[in-house]
Parts: sequence; structure tokens; C-alpha cells
Amino acid sequence: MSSTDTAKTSSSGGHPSNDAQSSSTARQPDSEASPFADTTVGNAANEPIAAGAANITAGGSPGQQGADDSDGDDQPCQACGVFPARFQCSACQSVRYCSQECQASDWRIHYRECAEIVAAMKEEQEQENGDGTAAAVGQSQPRSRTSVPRLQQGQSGDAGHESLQDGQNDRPASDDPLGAEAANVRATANRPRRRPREPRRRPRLTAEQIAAFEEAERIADMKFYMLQVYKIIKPVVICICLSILWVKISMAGSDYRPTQSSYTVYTETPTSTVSQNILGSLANAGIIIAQIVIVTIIIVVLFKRGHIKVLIGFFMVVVAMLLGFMGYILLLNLIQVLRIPLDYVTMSFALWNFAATGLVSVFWKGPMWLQQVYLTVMSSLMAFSLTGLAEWTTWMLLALLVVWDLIAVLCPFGPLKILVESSRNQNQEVPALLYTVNAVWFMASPPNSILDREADKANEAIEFENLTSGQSNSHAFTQGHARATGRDGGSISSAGASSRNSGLDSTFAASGISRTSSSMALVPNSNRDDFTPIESRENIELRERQRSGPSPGRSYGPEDGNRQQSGPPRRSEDREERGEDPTGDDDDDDDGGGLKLGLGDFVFYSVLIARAAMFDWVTTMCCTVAVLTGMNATIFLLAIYQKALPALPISICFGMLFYFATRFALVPFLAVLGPSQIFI
Amino acid sequence: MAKPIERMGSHEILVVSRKLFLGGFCLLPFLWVFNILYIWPVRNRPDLSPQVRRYLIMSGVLSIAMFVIFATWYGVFVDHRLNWGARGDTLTVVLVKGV
Repeated sequence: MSSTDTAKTSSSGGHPSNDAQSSSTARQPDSEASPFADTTVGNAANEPIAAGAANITAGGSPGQQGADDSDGDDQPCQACGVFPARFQCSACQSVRYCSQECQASDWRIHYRECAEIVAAMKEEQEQENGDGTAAAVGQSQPRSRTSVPRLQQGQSGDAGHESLQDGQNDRPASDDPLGAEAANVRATANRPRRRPREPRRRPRLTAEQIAAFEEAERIADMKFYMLQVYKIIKPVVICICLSILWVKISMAGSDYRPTQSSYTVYTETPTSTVSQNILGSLANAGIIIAQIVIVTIIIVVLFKRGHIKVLIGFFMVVVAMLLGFMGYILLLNLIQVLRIPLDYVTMSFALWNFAATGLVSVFWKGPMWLQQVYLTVMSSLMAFSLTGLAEWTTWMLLALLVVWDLIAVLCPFGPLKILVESSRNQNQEVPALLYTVNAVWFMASPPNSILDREADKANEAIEFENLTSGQSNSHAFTQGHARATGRDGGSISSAGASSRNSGLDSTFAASGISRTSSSMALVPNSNRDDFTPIESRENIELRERQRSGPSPGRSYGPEDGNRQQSGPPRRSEDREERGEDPTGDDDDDDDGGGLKLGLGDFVFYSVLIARAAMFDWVTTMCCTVAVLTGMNATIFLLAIYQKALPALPISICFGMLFYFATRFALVPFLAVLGPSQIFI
Repeated sequence: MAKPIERMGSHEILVVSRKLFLGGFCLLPFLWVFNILYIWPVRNRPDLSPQVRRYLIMSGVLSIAMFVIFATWYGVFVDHRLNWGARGDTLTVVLVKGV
């Protein structure tokens, strides 16, 4: 608890005496903070939270509001991404929140990093004390101050440290040697979130510390991606299983199997030779690929020109056709194979409801899970419709798609790459819809802000809201840009540090591992002394308990309400960053924050496996494992490269390899083993 | 995509609920069910307009009514389709083999 107000003191003076003073008054702000919380939230249950070691320090007393507002521009609320974020975690000062609810919701993620930062701060502090020179302190101070300057002012006012505040104000003028840096700092002050902190604090790291932090970041990053894998595999597996089911049902003697589309030029016959097959199917696949390419380019052009409504209309037609027509074909298969007597009245009624509800939930509003269900079902329907292609054509098509995917995503002028970039440039113009319906794209993109891993359930809409909500807009965009650019530049060694941070710190948060932009950890702060990780942990428990009790935050929504709160807010932040790649698909939204996988990937994974399912169960299983392995490998690469990658190539190559290996080696082998009763 | 219902204002919820409710009359009882599922997590929010609750209840009642109607119709159809002869066959989507 004593740590509650500590944040300000460090900024206020940096002189040992000041620190001592502030720590002596530590309790006072505490008492102030909780009343504040109570008034905002109107819930007495908050008090324990407010008393927690990692409290929000209230900068929001009426007098300081103005200053805080402008200050809030720097950094959005960690939990919900809203500006202004007037509170900061008092323990580590590294994160901002707009309200206590947000902090409470974020605490489960933040506490570890918080403890780590605090520990690092202590260490730093000790080092500094060892130096003992006032100059050193003075120098360090401006650096740390810039990240949270005005807020600290306000807070010091809160704590009754007006005198300190004055001293602080004087300082920049007096620190001539630091003039350049101060200017630098000022220049960066307007820049969005997190990044500004880097330049200031980086210099304070020793080489080993940097290495340690980078290592920690990397580990956390990997862990995050591991979690993502689990989340993304679920819809993919469901989609694959549905496709297998459709294929198996339709193969059980249905007259209504999907047929080869009429625009293909070549039809395989059992008598045709291999060369005929290859050339003919190549032509067929080429036609289909050409269609895909043309449609992709048209979409990119429409997007670049800003004809979003046209795009939405187009996608709506596609979705309606898919749900209605393919649903009809599938239903025919089902009722014939299962021998269900069904009348036209009931069927058209059911299809109409199915398709209309799907359109509403995908394009308008709806619970997230329903949207995901629809998208998964849509993908499996699409895959089912593609099983009508002849066998050779399917393989050719998949092989060509791999090539196309590589070109489109990785080449400098690949349409998908252009789409990603243009969406980054014209952030506003990316309607959430595009994320949703990009059924045509074949790429996986890295999580932009991994922050919201927890928030998976949240909708993108929040972002939308943000975008439309006027002022916060610009912040959001700039922020997104900053991030994006940060990541781009990231590959360059030292600059990489900052960019990495911008990308990764969110990762850390997500993984619940102490992350925190490492730089933060090194802010000198004497007050933190009594704050120990253990304490923080207790705090967490406290908080958790609180949660299960009456919700501290909202008057509605007890526990889950709270949790939900934590989700969506984050997402908004994320979503802004997500502007980076509109190509991501919504399906993965569900998989959690950042990782995005195009529905196109779903579809063609399923096509491959559906094709395998038409042959044999052994092949089916082998291909499923191979495709999922390839997907994992892609995600792994994603973790390394941190940029949009094509998701098809590895998976499809694995799948095809395993298909032919199984079909021509394993299955005959098993056929020999089976009768002779040998079990391996 | 839509934003989560938890983040909507009470007025917005009211609008959504009304639209879904009215949309349900286009022979779309799924929208009524959808309405209930969608609004369900926030049904106890104190600031929610009582109107929303009315819509939800109406949606539930009407969707159940629709379900009963179609279930009845389907039962009648399955029971009598063989007696209806040619008319029954035209109504059937896929003639069931063997029966």
C-alpha cells in the first residue's frame, strides 16, 4: 500500500531527501485514492483494490484534470485503449489506465511485469545511490520524468508535494547539458504510447541487462505464440472435421455431390493418360487461379480507392450465396443419405433463417461465438463445394495456390502485401468488415498487439467504436502507425530495440509474463522499497477474490462482466494496431487477439484434407496431422519474423507430401501388414 | 464486426433489440432467438430500458410459437405425406428411397 503514491515522487525530484519525504507521506495518497475510486465507481467494494500495492494513482483530482488530459495523450489506457488515461499503476508507473475497473481487469496480466519492473527499479536505484553524485541523479531524472511527466505533477499535487512540483518545473531549464536530450524528449513526447519511453530509458541499461531483457522478451514471445497455436488450432480443426464429415456423408451414396464447375475446360476420365491429366488439370487450375488473382486485384484496387461499401456488398453477396446455395446442396446430401423426408416449405424456411441470421451476425452485429461458428461453417461449406473438382485439378490448384500465396504476400508488389500496406496507410478506411470477410486471403499475420490475447472474445467493433468516436481517432491511428512503423524498422539492430518493444511488450503482457518494456524497469525509484513481489501477489489474490464477489467496477455484470470488460477494451487497442493488416481474418479474432489467419487458409486446408478423406482414413489422418504441423511451423515463423506471412505454403506442402507418401507407400504397406496379422 | 454487447450503451441495445425483433417478422424466428442470445449477457443491467425486456420476452414467445407451428406442420407432413399421393411427392425435396 505504501507504494501507492510512490510513482510521483521519483519524478518529482529525484533527490534523496524528496524521496524520503514522499515515502513518508505514502499513506496519505492512499487514503485519497480510494475515496476517489469510490466516487467514480460508486462501489465500496473497490476499496481493497484501491488499497492494493499496485494501485492506480489518482491524478484525477479536479485541479489537475487539464494537465492530466493532455498527458493522457501520450499513452492510452492499457486495458481499453481509451484516451485520456489519467491513472497509472503506482507501483511501476509504466502503465496507464482510464479507470480503476480497467486496472483491475488488467491486473492479472500486469502484476508480474509490475513486480519485475519494481525489482529492476530497486536495483537501478541502488546503483544510483552508489554513484551518489547529484548530477547523476539529475540526469537520470529528466529521462524518467518524460514518460509520465504531467501526471506526476498532478499526483504530487495530490500528495501535497507542491514544492516538489515547483522544483521539477524548474529543472528542465537548469539542465543545460541535457538540453539536447530534453529537446529530443519533447519531440518524442507527442508520439503515441510506449515508444516514447524507449529513447529515454534505453541508455540506462547495461549490456547484460539488455541481453537479459531481450531474452526474456523472446521467451515470452514464444510462450505467447504457443498459446496462440492452441487457440487457432481449434477453429481450424473444427473446420477440417466438418469438411471431412460433409465429404464422408456425400460419398455415402448421394446424388447431389458438388460437381466440377462449368468454367473448367478439361474433364478427367479414367482412360486419360498422365500427360493429358497433367496438362488438362493444369489448365483447369490455371483458370481458377486466374479468377482468384483477378478478384484479389480488384479487391485491392477497390480498397485502395476507398470503395469500402462496394467491397462489403460484394462480400455480402458471396456469403449469402455460400450459406444459401452451398447450404442447400449440403442439405440435399444430408437428407438423401440420412433418408429424411423433408418438405420444401420447411427446408426453404430453415435455409432462409440460416442464411439471413448468418448475414446479420457476420455483417452487422452478433455475439462473437456465433460469428465464429458461422465463419467456420462457411469455410467448411466452401471447402465442400471445392471437392467437386477432379482429383488432379485439386492438386494442381493447391500447388498453384502455394505459389500465388508466396507471391502475393511476400513480393514487393504482391496484392496482399499492397493491401496490408494500404490499410496501414489509410487506417480509417479499413472497415471491421474487411477483417471479417476477407475470405479470400491466404496469409497468416502476426498479432499486432498481442495485448488482448485475453480479449479474444472481444469484438473488433470496439475498434470501430474507437475509430468513429472522433477524437480518440487520431490517437488511435497515430498509435497504430507508430507501432507499425516501429515494427518495420525493427529489424535494424539498435533501432530494433524500440521497435521490438513496441511489438513485443504487448506480447509480454499477453503472455502474462513479466514483460513491460524493459526500459521501464530501470527507472530509479527509491520509494518502491517496501514494495515486494510477494506483496503484489497477495494483491492479486485479493483482487481475484474481489472479482468473484460483487464486481468492483461495473454496477452490472459481476464477475464475468468484469472479465468481459477486460477483454474488449484491450481489443480496441489492438484493433488499432490491427489496422496493419486488414487481411487478417476474423476467425482468428477468436483465437485471440493478435494472430490472424485468413479464411482462405481454412478453406484450402480443408480442401486438401477433404480430398484425402475421399481416398482413405489413414491418408486423412496423416494429412490432418501434416497440415496442422505446417500451420504450427508457420506460426513459429511468424514469431520469428513478426510480419505477415503466407500460411498456405508450408501446410499445403506438408499435406501434399504426406498425402502421396501415405497413398503410395503407407497404405499399400498397411494393406500387406493387415492380412498377415502383424502389428507394429 | 459488431462490438460486444457489454460495451454498448443502453440506448444502442434498445435499438439493436428492436431491429432484431422487427426483423424476426420476416419469417425469421432465428433472429428472435438470436436476439435473446445476444442480449442475454446484459439482461440484468440496471440501466437497461424496460422496453428491451419486453422485446426479449416477445421474441421468446414468438420464436417458441413459430417453432411449435413448424414442428406441427412437419409432424403432419411426415405423417401424411404418403397419403397425399402426388401432392406429397411434389412437396418432398428428395424422395426417400424405400418408403
